[in-house]
Amino acid sequence: MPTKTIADIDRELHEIVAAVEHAANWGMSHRDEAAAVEHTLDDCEELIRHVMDASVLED
Amino acid sequence: MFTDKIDAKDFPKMPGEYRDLLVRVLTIQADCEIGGPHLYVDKLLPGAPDAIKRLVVARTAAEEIDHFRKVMDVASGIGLDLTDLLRHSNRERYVDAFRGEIATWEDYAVFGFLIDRIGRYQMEEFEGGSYAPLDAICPGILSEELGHIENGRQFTAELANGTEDQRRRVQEAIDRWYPKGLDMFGHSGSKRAERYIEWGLKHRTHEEARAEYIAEVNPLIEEMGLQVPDPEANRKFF
Repeated sequence: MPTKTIADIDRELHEIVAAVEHAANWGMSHRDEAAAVEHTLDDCEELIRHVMDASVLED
Repeated sequence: MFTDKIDAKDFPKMPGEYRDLLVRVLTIQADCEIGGPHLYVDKLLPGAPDAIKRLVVARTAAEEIDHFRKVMDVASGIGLDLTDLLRHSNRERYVDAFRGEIATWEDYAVFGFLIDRIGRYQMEEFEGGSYAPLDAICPGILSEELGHIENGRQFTAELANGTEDQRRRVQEAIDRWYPKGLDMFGHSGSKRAERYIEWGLKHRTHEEARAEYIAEVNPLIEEMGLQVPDPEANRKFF
């Protein structure tokens, strides 16, 4: 049964963090575009929940 | 006092006490880093007062996740797997302040203002310390913690200058988090803290760090026109 290594989890966390930071910064610089910011927030929430519910550990 | 610099390859050769203390401090640090977002993401990522504040919550959570990742990496260098901390519920957190839930904006603001500041104190303990890989991750984490603290200070000040209701609610949040914060430094006269200092893993005793924190934070609370809570009320550790 394949199991993620710490290196795999590290890589995945790193990618999630980079994606959320990029999205949050984009959203802050486009604060006047309400619909786009909402969409960005949805993306951030989905990414962060992947860590909060520990699904990042699953294969 | 121990002044050598230790790397991962030296770890197995170190005395058991050093290894135990390093394992303990890395585990607690990682638990606190991931414990933060677990407190507030659920309610505040969708529920902060406006879109920009929601983006601040998202970015802060991401940075805390990254701090967890960095501590996890240092731990993996000594064969310690901390990934299971990702599965822990709030009830299982090591430090009491991370065991509840942050459901209101004023609690989020005050958490940044008061509790992230203690995160900064904790990371400062490791700066220049004997375990080089832990020392190496300090500057990046500290720089981001300073941003969280400043966000928390600004949001707290905004609420303190707001309506009467906002002011009352933010004072109540200060009253809730201030004693939890002082407790986070641990027991005064701790023998374990002395051993951390002896092994160069920390610099200050619990009581020294707590006194510095009080001297720093009390004037900031007063500047906002808020009341500093009784430092002995609702405390568990003195």
